[in-house]
Amino acid sequence: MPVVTHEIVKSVMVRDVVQQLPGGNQVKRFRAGVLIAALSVSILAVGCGRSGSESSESGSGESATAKANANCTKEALQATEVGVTADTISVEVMADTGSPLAPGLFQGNVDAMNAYAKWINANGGVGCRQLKVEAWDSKLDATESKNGIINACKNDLAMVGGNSLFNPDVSVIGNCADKAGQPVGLPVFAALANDVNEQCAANVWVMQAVAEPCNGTNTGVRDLKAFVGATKYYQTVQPNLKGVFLVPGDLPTTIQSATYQIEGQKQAGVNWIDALKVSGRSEQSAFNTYVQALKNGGGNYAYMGSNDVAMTKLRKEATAQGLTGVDVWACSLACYTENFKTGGSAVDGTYVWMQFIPFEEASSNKAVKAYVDAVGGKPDSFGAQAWQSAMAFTQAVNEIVAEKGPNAITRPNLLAKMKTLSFDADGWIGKARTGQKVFSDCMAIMQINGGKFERVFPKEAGTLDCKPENVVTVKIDPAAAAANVK
Amino acid sequence: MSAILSTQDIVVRFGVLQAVSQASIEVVEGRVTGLIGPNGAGKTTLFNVITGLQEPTAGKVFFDGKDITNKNPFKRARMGIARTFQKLEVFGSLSARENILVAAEQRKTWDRSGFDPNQVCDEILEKVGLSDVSEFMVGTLPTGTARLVELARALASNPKVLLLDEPSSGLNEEETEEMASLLRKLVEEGLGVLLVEHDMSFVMGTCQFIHVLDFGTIIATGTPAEVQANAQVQAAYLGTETVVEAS
Amino acid sequence: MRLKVSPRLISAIVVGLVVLFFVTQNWGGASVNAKTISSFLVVGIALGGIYAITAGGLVVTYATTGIFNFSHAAIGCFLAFCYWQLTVKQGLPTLVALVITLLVIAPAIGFLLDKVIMRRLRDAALVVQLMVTVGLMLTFMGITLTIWSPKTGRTLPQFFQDTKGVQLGDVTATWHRIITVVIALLVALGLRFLLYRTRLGISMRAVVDSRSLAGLTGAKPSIISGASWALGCMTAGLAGILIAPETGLVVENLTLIIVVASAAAAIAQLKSIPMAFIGGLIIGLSKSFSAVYLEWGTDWTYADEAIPAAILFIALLFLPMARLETGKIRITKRTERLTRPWEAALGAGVMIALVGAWANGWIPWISGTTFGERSTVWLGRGAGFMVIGLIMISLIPLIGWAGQVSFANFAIAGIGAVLFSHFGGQNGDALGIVYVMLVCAPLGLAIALPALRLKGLYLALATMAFAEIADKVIIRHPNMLDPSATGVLFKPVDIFGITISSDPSDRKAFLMFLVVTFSLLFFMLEMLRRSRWARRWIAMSDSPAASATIGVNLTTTKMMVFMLSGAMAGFAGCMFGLQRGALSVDSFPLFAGLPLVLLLAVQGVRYPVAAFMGVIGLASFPALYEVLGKPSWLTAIELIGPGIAAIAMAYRPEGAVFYSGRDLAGLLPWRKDARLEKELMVAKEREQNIGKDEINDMGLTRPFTQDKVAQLDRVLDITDLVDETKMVPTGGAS
Repeated sequence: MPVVTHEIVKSVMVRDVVQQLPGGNQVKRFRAGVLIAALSVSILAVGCGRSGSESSESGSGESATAKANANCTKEALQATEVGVTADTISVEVMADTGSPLAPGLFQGNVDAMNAYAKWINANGGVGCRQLKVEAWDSKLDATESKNGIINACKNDLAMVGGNSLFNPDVSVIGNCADKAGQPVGLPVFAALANDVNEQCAANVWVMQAVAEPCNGTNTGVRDLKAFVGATKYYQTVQPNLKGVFLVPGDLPTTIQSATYQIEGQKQAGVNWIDALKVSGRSEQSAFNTYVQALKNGGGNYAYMGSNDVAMTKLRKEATAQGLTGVDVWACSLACYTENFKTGGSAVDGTYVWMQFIPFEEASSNKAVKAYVDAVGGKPDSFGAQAWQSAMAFTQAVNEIVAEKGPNAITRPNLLAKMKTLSFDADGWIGKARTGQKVFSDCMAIMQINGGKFERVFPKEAGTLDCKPENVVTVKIDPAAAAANVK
Repeated sequence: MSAILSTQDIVVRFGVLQAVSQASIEVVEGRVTGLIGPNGAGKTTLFNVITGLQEPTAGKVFFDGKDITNKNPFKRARMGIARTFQKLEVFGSLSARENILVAAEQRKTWDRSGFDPNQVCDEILEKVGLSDVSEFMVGTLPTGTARLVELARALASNPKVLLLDEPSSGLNEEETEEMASLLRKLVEEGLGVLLVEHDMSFVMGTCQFIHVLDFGTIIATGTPAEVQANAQVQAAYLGTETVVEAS
Repeated sequence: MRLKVSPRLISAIVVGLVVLFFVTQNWGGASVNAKTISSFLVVGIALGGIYAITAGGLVVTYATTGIFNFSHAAIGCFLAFCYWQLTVKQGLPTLVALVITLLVIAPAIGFLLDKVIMRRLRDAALVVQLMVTVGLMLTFMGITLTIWSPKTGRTLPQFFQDTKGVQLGDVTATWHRIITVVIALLVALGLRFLLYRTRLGISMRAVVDSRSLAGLTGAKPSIISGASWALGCMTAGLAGILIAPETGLVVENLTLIIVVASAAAAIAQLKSIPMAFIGGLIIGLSKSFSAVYLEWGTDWTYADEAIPAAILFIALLFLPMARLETGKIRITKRTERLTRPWEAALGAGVMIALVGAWANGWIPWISGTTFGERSTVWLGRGAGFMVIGLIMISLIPLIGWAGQVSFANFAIAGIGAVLFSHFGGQNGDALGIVYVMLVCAPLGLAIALPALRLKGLYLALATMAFAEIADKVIIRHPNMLDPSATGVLFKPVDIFGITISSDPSDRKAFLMFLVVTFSLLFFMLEMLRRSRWARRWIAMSDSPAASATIGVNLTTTKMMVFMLSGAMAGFAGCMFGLQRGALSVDSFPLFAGLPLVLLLAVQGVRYPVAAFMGVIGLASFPALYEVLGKPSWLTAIELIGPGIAAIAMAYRPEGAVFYSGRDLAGLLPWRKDARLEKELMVAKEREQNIGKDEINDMGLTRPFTQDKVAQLDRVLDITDLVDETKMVPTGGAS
């Protein structure tokens, strides 16, 4: 029985860690909900400067659905693959959830997947069949994550919308046997792939942005992507950004992830006074150090790589210390929470940037609306990402049905399809992305005022700002660069 | 007869309270030495000083001609000092036999005479009359029997001097008499015994020599008859034996 | 006297040099000037106030109840949430909410805890006392999380948060912080006054020493101890309410302050409340110093989080050596006999058979879908349970026999797992297991060394500090667990012709390997229990003073058992690594190790079979879920399970294994002795329940018999009152 409690203790601790996995590059690979979207290698080739929201032609899930539906009646439906029967397709959503009484981090993923199944089944189903969702709690534990994969391999067509932080052993994803007993592998449409092994695994399609090159070397000096679009916007507020980057410090990996974000912003022109380690668990008094660093260094910019709790404490301490020189208080998507809204006037003016159309603008995009409505008006960024993965899975299956008929739904076909899938979540993520692992160059910037998030850029609701120069590539060894973080 | 164990001007202070002041006593092999005095006189404290459980504020302890004042308790035990306790200190979750065996086995670490601990254990069980209950957990034994276990355990380390802290408390008359005769037997074998006791008839009948402690100070020393005649001793005990026995 | 001073002086110099070394090595934060000094002092004192107020409550509880309350901060956390509910949610005025929280709810919790649990712990073993409060801590966390979902953000405003505060140099001291420090100081002085100058306080302290003595002062011991717990809960609540605005209204932030508070309490030697205040300040200032002036390199990224644990460790070095106390032993009336070799072998066989039958799907429960088949998922989980069992069994000789309460074995296993990834596990070399055990044995010893001379509670605190340091500093060192090297760290190991790894195809073999090694260890321990080693450990645990007086060298004896336990934990660690395959830096937090000790303590720390029962306990909830579906009440029970365990332990301190053994052993045909002993016990109980009417007219119409008087003495424990040592005031109380 104490094991449960151990899980709870661990999950509440890790929640902290996770929430501080912010809008930095690899940082984003921890932090869900964030960098959704668009473009892989061909960032520069596709010069998309505006929102692709409403009428995107590329990768439209809808046209595939229509064609698929037309094919449903052409032949008798069969059980074509593990997890596929004549009338159902079952998928597994694996996430670190914990018990319902003490919900863990990623309950949002499971809720979103269940809501999605209900919604899609009421709207025609998937691949001529009803979608069944099996939930698996990976318990923030490598072993349970592996068990979840083993279970999905045995019972489900694919894993969809999952989010397990500790998932380093993905061998079964690579060699899972199909119905015929061939080790073809298991298709995974992950909402978030935290572990670099999962993130770069061949059979894994990842919703959130992948900063890693995934070219076989996950260590040492390498090319990593960093998002600087938000920084460029902040420079319109204060041209000479000079300040402090607060690094989420609870895990070595989060520190390393922050390093290329710091470097990217530096290349974009930010003058860093210091990069300082911060923890949401610290007392507010401990934030005095950061306030003094800003004060003494004459800073006008503070970027919080950690979570909403840490940002709230920082803002409160700054107020208490009478710090007035900061023009831009910026935070990653980790501050885009209900929790942050309760921070009161102390947090007013904080910028938060994201790579999808915000929940506040559900009326401007039907996918956002479908999601927000389906989860009873309680969206969270993790759930949004799971929903988007489910949309991608649906589109992939429907495209297979449209091209090869309703009895072609097999793991090999799905694996082949995910490599070329062009997907835009009906405009929710700005523009279409092609391939398994991409790094979006889209963003919207929100600002909190009076307990509400308000859009500041781009001005028009329901749009995202997508341009190649929002993303830079930095050559860095994060492990070595971590030494510069105090 | 020279003393095998002696203390020299022992002082023990707890904060402002002086538990023992300048107590000097002697224990000689082959006889029972009594240490008596009213409650709170410092008898047990003195025992603790001799066995090393209590560091004296001043003074020295000699054993076998050596100054052992700064020696660890276990080293003193290895030199040949064994004791029992006023309040039971048995190994409650071991059987009676194991209690004695632990001591006998421990003796192996310094006594190279090649004895067999199990055999020693059986002999002692026999000697103190515990054979019947040897397999019982000591925690389940009556107090009187547990006292015998403590005594047997002390004997198992083959001491030269044995310190007994109120061996008769919790014993009935019959058991007390058995205890007395056992002590006589041990002394005949050459053991030196130092005895703290409230039961005056037991003391007077068993001891060959007596130290009287009152408020931490030795107020009288001598044979039972001499001590009984001492006016100071009578004053210390309010002249009545009943008070002593009632405690 | 010369000897008394110098070791401390040497320790002080050594510690000073070590601290100086760390400071100079990691120097590199801000330069020293008036600005940074004012920042360092103001922040440090503000933090110090927070720790001091928690530590003060902890010390008061210990001084008045004799129990080190791990749940102190968790209770404070619960009360802070109550206060939030009343003020922010229900909109009650601050003062009313404070009165309700601190003067109604807090004392009610205190009295209830005392009545239901705590007063039964007075004579319990240290491990039981500690584990009950650990269980309570987990329960209060569970209850708080259940009532106030962590998904909702909550803010508790600082007192006077709209005022300007006081400008000190470059820094502003907010009124809330000033109030916190002042209240911490006032509480320290007030409690000190209460405990030493008032009748109630003196009675409270007296209860700890002797319940019956306190009774003589005219106070009712039960009321007194209830009042002590009420007072403890009130200080906890006050601390929680003052701290929550600083840490955020977050369960783990508020609960984990207990580690810091323990360090401050250790500085106070668990008795001086003013010193606890100073201890809090020392820790606050150290953390602030590190934040302002030090720059920890990548090798020691998390060293600053281990500062409180390090201070705890240092504080223990300066504690005076524990006296060998007499007259304090607890004699439990346990009836048991040594397990015979053939019985132990039979037991080991039964374990192997049980697990084997389960692994082959011959037992239906716990996800056996088809007869004769067990899914690889559940085989993997079974292996996980057995690994936990291995860690638990490593605690049997240490805690159960030698009475040395250690929280560090999980951390040692963690270090073992990480080391195995360097010593051979990375190549599948079984010999690496031996190397790991050879390292972990002295490691177990090294942890205990500073605390060997101290009494049990301090040792437990030292192991807690070590577990924290292991988690924050040792395991996270890049040379131990390289954060860049992710993925599976271990290759399958071939051992005696069996391949063991976390691969699905190896899982059944691995599980069987684990149960066989577990059974071997079980058998080995049962045999060890019959040897002179275990006898000596148990003797030392039962009465250290008596052990010393029969020539037992307590120090070396303790060292032996720590080494044995360390080696066993190291082995368990290797298995842990192999079973997990991958390790992450936060796999071994202090708070994951505590429940293992709790689980074992519930089953009974003395009995090797308890570790196996613990494994079954681990598996029981999955089994229940399977049989009952997934009812939410079961989840609720699972959440507060540790609390149930804690309460059970207060009533059944010897552990479930003992009581079921006592009641059921007689059913075995060859255990005639058990049947006899049970009869004997019943007879003894009859003696204890000496009737009132039996005493009533004694001496009047019936004569006192010697036997009757002796019986009365035993029943009433008359001899306890005539204890010379009790007449001496406890020395050096400050």
